[in-house]
Amino acid sequence: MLYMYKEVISMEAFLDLLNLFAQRRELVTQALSQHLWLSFMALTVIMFLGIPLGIMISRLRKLAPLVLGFTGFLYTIPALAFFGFMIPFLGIGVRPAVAALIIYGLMPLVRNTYVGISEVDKAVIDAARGMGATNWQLLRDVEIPLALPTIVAGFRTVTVMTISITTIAAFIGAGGLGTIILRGITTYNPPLILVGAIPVALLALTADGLLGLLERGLLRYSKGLSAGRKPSPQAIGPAGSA
Amino acid sequence: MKKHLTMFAVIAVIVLAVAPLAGCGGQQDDQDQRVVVIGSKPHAEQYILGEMIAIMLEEHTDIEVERNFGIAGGTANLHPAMLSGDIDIYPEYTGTGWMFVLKQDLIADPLEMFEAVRDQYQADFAITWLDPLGFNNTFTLAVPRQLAEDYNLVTFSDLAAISDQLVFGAEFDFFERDDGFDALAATYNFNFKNIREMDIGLKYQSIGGGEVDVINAFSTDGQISLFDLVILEDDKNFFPSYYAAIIIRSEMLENYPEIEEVLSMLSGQISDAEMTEMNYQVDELNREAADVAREFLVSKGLIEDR
Repeated sequence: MLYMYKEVISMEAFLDLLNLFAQRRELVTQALSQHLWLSFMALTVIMFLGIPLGIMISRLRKLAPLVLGFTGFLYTIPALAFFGFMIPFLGIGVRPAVAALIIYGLMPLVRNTYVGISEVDKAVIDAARGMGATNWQLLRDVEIPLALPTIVAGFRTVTVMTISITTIAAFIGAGGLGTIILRGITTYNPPLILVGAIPVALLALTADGLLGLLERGLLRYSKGLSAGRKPSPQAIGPAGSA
Repeated sequence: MKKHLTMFAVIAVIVLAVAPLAGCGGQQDDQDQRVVVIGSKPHAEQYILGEMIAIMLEEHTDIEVERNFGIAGGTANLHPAMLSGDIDIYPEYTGTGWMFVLKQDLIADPLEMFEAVRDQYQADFAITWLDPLGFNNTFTLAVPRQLAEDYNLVTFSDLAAISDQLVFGAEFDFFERDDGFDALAATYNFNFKNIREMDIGLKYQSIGGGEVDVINAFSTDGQISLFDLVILEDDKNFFPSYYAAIIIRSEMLENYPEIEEVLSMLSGQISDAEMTEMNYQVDELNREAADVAREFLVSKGLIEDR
């Protein structure tokens, strides 16, 4: 029966696979849209929760080790165990799946937001303060714009991770491309496993690529920002060297 | 909790199996070492049957037994393992062998189907079917008792009349097998409001929690009473019969003919009610499959009480 795995690699098998995609079109489209929806819901919440949380702990530094430690701890729990853990509280289906995805994806975004803001050049902050910026202005006009590339990089990590972990949500009845993979595994049908796995990989790669472009764009933008808005180096003394 | 115990048991068995090798200090592999590997699918009934096979061999022969229970995916992965020789013995069901493995059309008569699957397995795979154990663990559909009473549901056809208001749940492979969801829905004109695919271990929990209204079930599932469900009647005889039997790689029987002699003692010994009760003991009362299996064998006089 091992020959089935070898078969997958040949040209003929590749055509068979395309055929299978065509045959199971309906299943794939349905699973794909469920997958996108699950990932999208989780990522939206992660974004609106993770970035403020990261900003908050950059203000209240004492909380940082606690929050980062806790989200980091959540991150170490195996994904499958995490989904299982949700069942007693939220039952099965979409709700527990999205909840698990959110809790799971929070850590990289909180950390990156926090790190991005913490690492804004002290000289830039001093300069802004010297110009009379309030805390809010400092955050809005200086720190967040400069931290944006790091924040987006964090969001990119979370996005790819969430798309791949959403696969596991199928175990608890949330649907998505994982159902196709699990159908393939439980019926010993390797081509069917690929019909589920390939779209997951393509989805993750596409999201990664798009966010990569955004990240590069922002990096250029924030470089321009810090070069343009930064007061002349002489004014702040030894810190400036550009 | 039970899963942890099972996992622990599996690890313990592995440790116990490996420990003597390590302890003996460089002793050569004994070529005459007689080891049979017993497999099972990942649910209570199969763990119990697997234990029965193992205990019978341990009590009546000097063959060393290795337990490789709870293989994920069940037949889909056990059958290839039998062909490759990784597994020597496991409990299988007539309908599964005939329709899922051999991809043959349903034979309505259970005995005829057994004879057909036995002969075909011998010819195609060199795997021997012993005579069935006695009970028929067929597929069926289960609904909460309250729902059945509210709508006066007795048969699958009754269910079809209100299926557009209900959510159906089953494990992944049920949607892929030829005698699975698509064919069933076509036969009875089921048109469920929603369909949930999930891990087989979550099915009962999710119908218990009201997440789904109908699940596919096995007629000997111990959880049926635990979650206060009722089984509906397959009035169009869609599902084939699934009589359980022990199947063995024929090569093993040539080497150790005593295996057939010992395990044939189990044929015809287990009724539907007895199997359901044992499943209930393991699923609901969280007892160890090994204890339940041993008690049963003692009660039937197949092994001596210790």
